[in-house]
Formats: sequence, C-alpha cells, structure tokens
Amino acid sequence: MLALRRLPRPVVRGLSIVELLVGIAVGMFVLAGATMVTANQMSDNRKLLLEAQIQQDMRAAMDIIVRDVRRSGYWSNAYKSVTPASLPQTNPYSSAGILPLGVGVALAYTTSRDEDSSPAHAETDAVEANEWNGFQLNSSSNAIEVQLGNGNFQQLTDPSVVKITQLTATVNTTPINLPVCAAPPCAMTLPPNALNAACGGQSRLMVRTVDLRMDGEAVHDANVKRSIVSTVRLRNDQVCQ
Amino acid sequence: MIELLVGVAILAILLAVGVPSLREWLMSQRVSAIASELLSDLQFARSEAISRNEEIFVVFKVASGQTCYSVHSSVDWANAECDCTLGAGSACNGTGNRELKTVTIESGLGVTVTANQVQMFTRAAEFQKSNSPLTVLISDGGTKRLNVLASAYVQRPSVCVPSGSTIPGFKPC
Repeated sequence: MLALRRLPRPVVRGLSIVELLVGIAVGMFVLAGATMVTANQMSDNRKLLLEAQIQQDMRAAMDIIVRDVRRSGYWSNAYKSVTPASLPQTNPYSSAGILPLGVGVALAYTTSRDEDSSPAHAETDAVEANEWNGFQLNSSSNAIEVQLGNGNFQQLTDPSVVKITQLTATVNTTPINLPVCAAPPCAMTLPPNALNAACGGQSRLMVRTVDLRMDGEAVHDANVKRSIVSTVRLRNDQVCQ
Repeated sequence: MIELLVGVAILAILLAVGVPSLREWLMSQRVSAIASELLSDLQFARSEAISRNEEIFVVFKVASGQTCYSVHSSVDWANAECDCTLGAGSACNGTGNRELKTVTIESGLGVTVTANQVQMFTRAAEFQKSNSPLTVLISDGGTKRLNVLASAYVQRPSVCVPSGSTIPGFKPC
C-alpha cells in the first residue's frame, strides 16, 4: 500500500511559453531564409521579363520601321512615270525615298495612301497631309516616334521600359547603267529632277538600301543594352536619265 | 494549462495578422501575373500582325465560371470572332479563323479580366486607321487592380496601376 501511495502523480504539462517562443523564433529564421530565396527568385523573374519586354519592344519597332520604309515612295500610278503616250510625270511621293527633315528626324518620306483612304480609291498624284511618314528619336523622352501624317508623331517604344539611345538610318545608292536605246517605245523623256545631275547623261536605275541601327537600354538597369541592325532594300527604284 | 492557452492565443493572433496580408500578397501576385501574361500576348499579337502583314484580333469574354481571351487571325473582315469560352484549341471552330492562343482564367482565382473593346492589331501600313485605344482591367474586386493598355494608332501595349490600387512595381496610369 505504501508503495502504491508513493507513486508520482502524472503531471500534465502543456507547451511552455518559453518553448513556444523559442519555437516561433526558430521558425522565423527558417521562414526568413525561405522568403529571401523566394524574393530573389521573383525579382530575377521580373528582371528577365523586363529584358524580354525590351527585346520585344525594340524588335517590334524595328519590324515596323523596316516594313514601312520598304514601301516609301509608293505611287499607285507609277506607270505614269514611263508611259510614252503622254508626258511622263515625276513620282510625287518622295522620289528620293528618304528626305532629311531637320535635326532629330532620322527618316522622313511620303507614301501614297490614296487607295486606302478615299472612298473612290483614286490616286490623287499629290502628297496629302496623311501621306507623310517617317521615324525619329525623341531625345527628351528617349522614345522612337513614328510620323502618322504631317507632323503627327506617336510613340513607338515604351519610354518607361526601354530607353532608346540611338537611331540611325544610312541610305546607300547603287546606280546601275541601263542600256541606251534610241527608238520608241523605250526612249522616254523624264522631267528633270534632283538626281538627274548625278546620272551624268546616262539612263540609270538607282537601287537603294537603307542601313538601320537602333541602340537601347533598360530603364531599370543601364547594364542591359540591346542593339538591332537591319538593312532594307527599297522597293521603289528610281530611273533617271 | 494557462500556458497552453496563452500559447494558443499567441498563435491565433499571429495567424490573424498573417493570413489577410498573405491573401493580399497572393492576390497582387495573381493580378500581376495575369497582367504580365496578357501584356506579352498583346505584344505577340502585335508583332504577328506586323510580320505577317495581316490583322490579328484579341477577343475578351466574360462567362459564368471564367473570363478568357483568344488571340486569332481573321481571314477577312466579315468573319465571326472566335469564342474563347469553347476552350484552347477549339475557340475558332466554325469561323475559318486561325487561333493563335487562348487563355482561360477560372473564376476560382478571384480575378476578372474586362476589356473595353475587341482589339484589332492592324498592319503597320494601316496604323492611321486604328484610333481607339484598348483598356483592359484586371481586378480582384478590391484594391488589387492593374490596367493593360494598347495605345491608339501604333497599338503599343503597356501595363499601369490605376489610382486606388496598391500593386508595387508598375508605373501609375
């Protein structure tokens, strides 16, 4: 009986405050480490996303420029410049393909849009306000702008994501001598234009290419730099005589 | 016994503080993830339109149980829009259009996507024709909101935070 009475009473002990606090503290350390890893991964992921966005933004801008420059000087009545039946006309749409238009404008040219805009789809043989095109680098916003109609510039790249540092366009002209033929219908009288002097009295086909270069860097990190180089062969060759 | 109760009370307080902020964080992550995906899809649609030289459409739909959008090309102007509620792979069934991508956001996520128009990405030569900007609102119904925009004319996509929303890392609208 004595031995039975001496049995210790079973003690119910809960989680003591100290144990809990220590537990929470250890948990916090583990959690802090895990959070740091996750946060790093997320910021890396975001950086990667932004870099992809820069690449995509610049590529899209370059694609737009290339496509648009390629059809510069488009004239739906191009036959009028060679037809022997009537007096041949000069292409009213920037015959040089690219016109320098003052400081800051990398490219400017005109393209016929008469077929698109007028209900009668009639070519007017004249440059209207909506037929001015071109691209420029705005040096204050560091964005490339596209000209949609005379003097109306719209941002083509996002200045909050990519800072464009350079946009250049170089026009290369390769003259190809055409065979001289005296008899009609080949013989034609072209009206005088600026390039005629360069032709030296010889019928020539002026084949033009434009070398484009675009440099940009990320707004969030100036170390992320991208550049795109592209060459466009203009579709509208010019014949001069 | 008292210690146990105090311990449970402390745990309960910690959880009560932690869970709502975790939920907020989760929602802002969901909203920004959907916005990023939509942004890259719009960029994809725009570069497709430019490089293929054809119109590319992005059609948004709100249906029961989901909101969704579909990126597709159109054979001609008269063709019907694709229906993204039919699911990826069959959204363009019966229209003759070519489906490029379909994204479905289940309503269980608690995020809705609403757009002000069917977005048409035009060919580069027809920029002058497109003069109505796209505004898409991605919202959890509370303070976690983001706008995905496509500007007029050049149709350049971007993301911004509308006023009253609290998602860090994006420029304000």
